[in-house]
Amino acid sequence: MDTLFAIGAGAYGATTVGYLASLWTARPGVGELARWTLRLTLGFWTIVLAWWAFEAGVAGGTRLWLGLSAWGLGILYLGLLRRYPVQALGSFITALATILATLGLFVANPTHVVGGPVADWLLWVHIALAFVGVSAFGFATAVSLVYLLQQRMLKRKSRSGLRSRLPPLQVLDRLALRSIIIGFPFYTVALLLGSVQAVREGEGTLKVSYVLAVVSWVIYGFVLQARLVAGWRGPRAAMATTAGLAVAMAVVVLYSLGLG
Amino acid sequence: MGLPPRLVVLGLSHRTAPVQVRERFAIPEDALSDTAGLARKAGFRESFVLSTCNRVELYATTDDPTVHSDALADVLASVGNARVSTVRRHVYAHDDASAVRHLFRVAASLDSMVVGEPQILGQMKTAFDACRGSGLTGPALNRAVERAFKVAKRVRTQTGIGRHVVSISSVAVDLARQIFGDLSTHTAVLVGAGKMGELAARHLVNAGIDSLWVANRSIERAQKVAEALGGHPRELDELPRLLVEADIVVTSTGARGYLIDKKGMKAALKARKYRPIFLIDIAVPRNVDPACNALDNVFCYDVDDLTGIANENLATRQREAEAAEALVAQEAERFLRELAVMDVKPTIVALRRKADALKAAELERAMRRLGDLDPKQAKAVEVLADGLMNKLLHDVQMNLKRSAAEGDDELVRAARALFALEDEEDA
Repeated sequence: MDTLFAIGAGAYGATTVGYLASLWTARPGVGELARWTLRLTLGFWTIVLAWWAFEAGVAGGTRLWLGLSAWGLGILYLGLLRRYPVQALGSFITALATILATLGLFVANPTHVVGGPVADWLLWVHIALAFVGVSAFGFATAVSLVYLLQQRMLKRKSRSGLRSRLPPLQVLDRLALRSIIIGFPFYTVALLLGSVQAVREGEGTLKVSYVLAVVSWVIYGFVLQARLVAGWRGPRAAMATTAGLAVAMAVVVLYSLGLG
Repeated sequence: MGLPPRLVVLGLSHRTAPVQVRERFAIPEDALSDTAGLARKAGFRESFVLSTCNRVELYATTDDPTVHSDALADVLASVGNARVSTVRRHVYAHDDASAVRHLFRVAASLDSMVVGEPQILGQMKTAFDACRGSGLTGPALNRAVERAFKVAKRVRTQTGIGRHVVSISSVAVDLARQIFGDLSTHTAVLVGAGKMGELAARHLVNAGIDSLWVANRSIERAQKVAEALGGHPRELDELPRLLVEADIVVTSTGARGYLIDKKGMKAALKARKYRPIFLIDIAVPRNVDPACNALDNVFCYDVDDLTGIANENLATRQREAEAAEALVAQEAERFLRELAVMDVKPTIVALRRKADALKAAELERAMRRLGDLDPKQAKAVEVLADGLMNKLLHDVQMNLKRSAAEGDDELVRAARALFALEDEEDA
């Protein structure tokens, strides 16, 4: 199973290289090849995840959660391509998916689960909601990074051809905001269920990973509030979104490695 | 044996004739087919005329070796009401392979004044439709021109020749799109009524902006420019309010000192809730304090910034043009090979027809000699005859096609002589 996960993570990496090449060369054929690589990777990844869910059950939840987030990012990106000119986002989205899939490799051993069927059910819901939330935040972050790059090039009056290949700033800004609006409620409920689960397992709620999870929730809550009420937009919002995911990823790393 | 039609082109363009000559020979769209008709009367089998502000070209085909592009020079002279000697001083002519390559280059915008400009393809399509609609084109010209359209499309999609805009106004619109995306929900204000500013504003209007205000010290002048651009006139005193409402600002006044400074822009930005704003300063001396660019969500470009991008884009186009030239040459080569193979088709058809007739006659004689055969035996004899004929002709056909594709028609001539195909066709 580890080998299959490694192949899947490698496939995501190859897709990232393809998208970077398409961004660099601007040849439509290269972009099309990268899209097909992503489709094949997602197909393969679906099988791997289904197999893992069947084999490890709820005890393999962390790896499943990471894997699903990587999968969700890819699916979301392909869906958005139908509506927005965001081809250039591919390299950022797949890079993030590669990181998530690679992290999944480090949590090979099924975690210890106590509490019986109710706990199982809660954990499954927690995983599903956290998957949607982190995927949405991950997407918002990838979009925000592209925003920062595009904004920097426009500010510096860059003559690079890359500038014309990246999506418009306002499209990126809107996509990032919508992603956070979608992800936030899912992440909120996932966090609550995670706390319940932690209490049931007698772990308490003061572990570093739990605290960081709350911190990332606070950051996204703040970004959402600032954007919707105070009209925050542009580079500040993009940087805060990126910071939120960085904290959320720290939670994932600590939890995955059993350090938090 | 009839010779395959030759493609001939004669024309003048920005490369060979100054504008005062080109305008003399320019042909209005509704007269294109009449001019093409003149070429037909001059002895050409098919004809098509292209006329744009940068070129006038007559394309024609003929299978008569005595008809040359000189005849097209006469047509052009009659169009421009000029002496043939005058025409000859400014024209170029191409035959056969060279004509095909030229046609492909023109369609792909490689011969345009601004390499990669997209208008030429539309102009060619309109001109060609007019001539085809009048029945002046035929299979050879249709095949060549339609292939030219395909090659042009391939060049546009596979190279970056048309990807980068090269005028200052287009660069400004391009940048506005990179900031806002769809411009149809955004408003612009033109401050001042200078020619360059007006041109940039016109590009924005053509790009589909929602509305345009024209602010000027003289309201009468603002009114005049606004009317020409389909916008609304405003007093220059309203600028602080306009900075809050408009998303794109084009400044082009002769004012000395900044009309928009960092402090004013900061206040406007707060009032507009930090919505992005694009300041296009085409004026010299500048109307916008360049320090405004340091503010978040403010993008400020002056005329040097825009010119720099336009020049870089032009250089990129030139680089892409080299790739496009290679692609066009490759496509022209392929098309000519296909044409050569098509030219050999009548010979192959005649050969097969003759062989079929011989086979039928010999089969009938053999059947008579063999007497009563049961259906199975009769079928076996027929299969034998078919097999012999097909195996014999297969290599002949393949070699004919191969030598035609290599541009060698000696073998085709030899085959027609050896199998007496000419006589049969004539008969």
